[in-house]
Amino acid sequence: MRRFSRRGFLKNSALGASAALFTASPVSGLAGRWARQEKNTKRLITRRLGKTGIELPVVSMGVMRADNPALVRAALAAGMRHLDTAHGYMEGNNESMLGEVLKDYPRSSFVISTKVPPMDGASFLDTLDVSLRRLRMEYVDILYVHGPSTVSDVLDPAILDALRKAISSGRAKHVGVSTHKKEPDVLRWAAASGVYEVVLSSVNFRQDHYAEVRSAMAEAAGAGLGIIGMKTMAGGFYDRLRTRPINCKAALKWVLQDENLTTTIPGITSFEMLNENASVNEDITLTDEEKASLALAPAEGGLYCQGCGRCTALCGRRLPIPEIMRAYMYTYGYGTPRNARTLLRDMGAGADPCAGCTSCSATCPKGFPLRERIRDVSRLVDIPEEFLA
Amino acid sequence: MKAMRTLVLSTAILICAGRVSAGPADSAGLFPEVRGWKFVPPPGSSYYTPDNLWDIIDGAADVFLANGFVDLHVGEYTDSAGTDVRAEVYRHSSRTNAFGMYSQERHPGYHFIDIGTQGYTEEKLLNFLCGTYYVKISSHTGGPRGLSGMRAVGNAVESALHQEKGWPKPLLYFPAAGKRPNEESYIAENFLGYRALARAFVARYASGYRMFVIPCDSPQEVRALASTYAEAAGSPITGTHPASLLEVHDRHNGVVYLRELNTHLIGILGCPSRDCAMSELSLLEERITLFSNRE
Repeated sequence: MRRFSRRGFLKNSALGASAALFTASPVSGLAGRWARQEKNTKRLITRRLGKTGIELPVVSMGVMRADNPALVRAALAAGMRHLDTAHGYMEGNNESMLGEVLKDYPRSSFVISTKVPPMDGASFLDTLDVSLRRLRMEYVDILYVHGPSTVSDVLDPAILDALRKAISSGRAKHVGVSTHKKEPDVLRWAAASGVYEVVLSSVNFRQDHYAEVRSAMAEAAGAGLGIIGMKTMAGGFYDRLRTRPINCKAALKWVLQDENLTTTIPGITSFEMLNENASVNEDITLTDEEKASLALAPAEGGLYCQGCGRCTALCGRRLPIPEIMRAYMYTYGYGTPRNARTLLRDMGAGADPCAGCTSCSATCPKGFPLRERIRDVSRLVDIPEEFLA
Repeated sequence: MKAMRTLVLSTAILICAGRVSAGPADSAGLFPEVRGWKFVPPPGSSYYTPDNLWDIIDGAADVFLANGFVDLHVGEYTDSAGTDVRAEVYRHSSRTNAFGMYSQERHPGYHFIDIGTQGYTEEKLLNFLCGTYYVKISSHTGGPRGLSGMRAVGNAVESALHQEKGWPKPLLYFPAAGKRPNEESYIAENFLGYRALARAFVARYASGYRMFVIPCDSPQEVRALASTYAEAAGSPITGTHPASLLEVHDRHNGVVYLRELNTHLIGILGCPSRDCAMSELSLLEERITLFSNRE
């Protein structure tokens, strides 16, 4: 994420020109739709977001890719209450679109979150102010630090202080941290911080370390944190070319079997997707067919290293094996050996990193034949350019 | 020499077995020398693909993937005064997709500059579109020094990319009168919120309406697209399609007027009346015909 503020954007345009980008609702009768939303909410499955006390339907809306105001209105009409965005999505256009839509709704009728990347405390608050002006709001319900994955970033005193100031100044009701790496660690650090109230974490059926994530979520929930799930669809496709779709409804239901997860924020960009996700708000029971579709998933992971790092910990030379496995995937899965070679050279890997080692102790939880793959792909480092063309 | 030959041969076999083909240009080729600046490999990875784009831009990755993201190279430069400039070079699968991504993040309030097909500056950033590439330059250093550094690096990267300037052709179809500058966009998926509608070029007009063009492969595809959309929008077409103007009462987007034009589905929404829609779409049709005849 970019690590600097966007004050100039605000000066130029946040309220003026951006408003012109998004047309007013072409469909009249907002009050009527709002009434229907209240009615719908009564039959939705809801859970409490930890000590924040916020009650949310189990499926919310990730707005990050949506550029259509009608879609946000439809989500609210379907009973979704929570909308998730970030300072950086669409270079700010996403927040501006939401501001234009939500100005017509009672402030208490929705729960909005945004995310600001880690930076020095003053800039962090300045950046939040830009987001608030784009959103046309006095406050956000949840303010996240966007994507830190090290203990020093998660527990950075300057950031924690900025978060406290965001609350004391009324600019945020609650604060949290979002993460899609080292989720178990981040959940535990957040719980220990005494500042964070919410964690937005990756969680999905394809995570090799899901048991760890689930265990950490239980601990965090026990400590009063509210937990929201993202990347629940695991990318939506099994393959890079996006030809083999994941059963997203099943994937969503699957993560919601864990009651420590309050809600989820799947990215919604079509009305069809909205209807499918909204139906999960009424029934999270997995059908046999849905279970079967997810059970097929492990067979799809033959080249994909999830970077758990256990192999490196076991390797006597502490080789960056996850990166080497990624290079292997580029070569054999995607047919891009130049990419692989760039990666290998960037990490300083030699043509035979295992040379001379006679007692390999590195193993992979997914069963990858590590030594064989390292040997095969590392040879690319010395291959002349013309042989890869 | 023998060892090298063996290595090359064994790797060639390995590559053939793995169905390997050519990859992208090396990072070094994308980040040329810039006078007065020193290239510095960024901390962490300098290369990203669809599998790990999340690692660098988190949830924003979704939009890039929807717009045919291929890969990203990252490089950094510093000068003797400590000014830092970071360049992120996003490659997309086509010029149209690169424009699609660029248009999602462009804002008409930015300060536009002459770089690539088009670029703009904002505080501490300079973004530009360049053929199949979307380039994002940033600096922690504000003011003229930071801007000057970003311009220098941006110009160098632009030269290294060797791309032809120019907009995707369908953008030229839109009538100029009343069109809002720098608000055209390309929506790769789920235009108007419907799965059926994809690959739409859109322009906004001062009068408040939006016109769109969806290029298709055949008149049959155009017809099927119109029917599928109308049905999904809750306003199915009954009987034969009207030759002049199709009126779809979209439950989410209001009234959308469509016209089937050979291999293009064109439309307008936000228009106050059917007459207005007819008039505006006729102008659009004229221009599409004009450009088609030139080919």
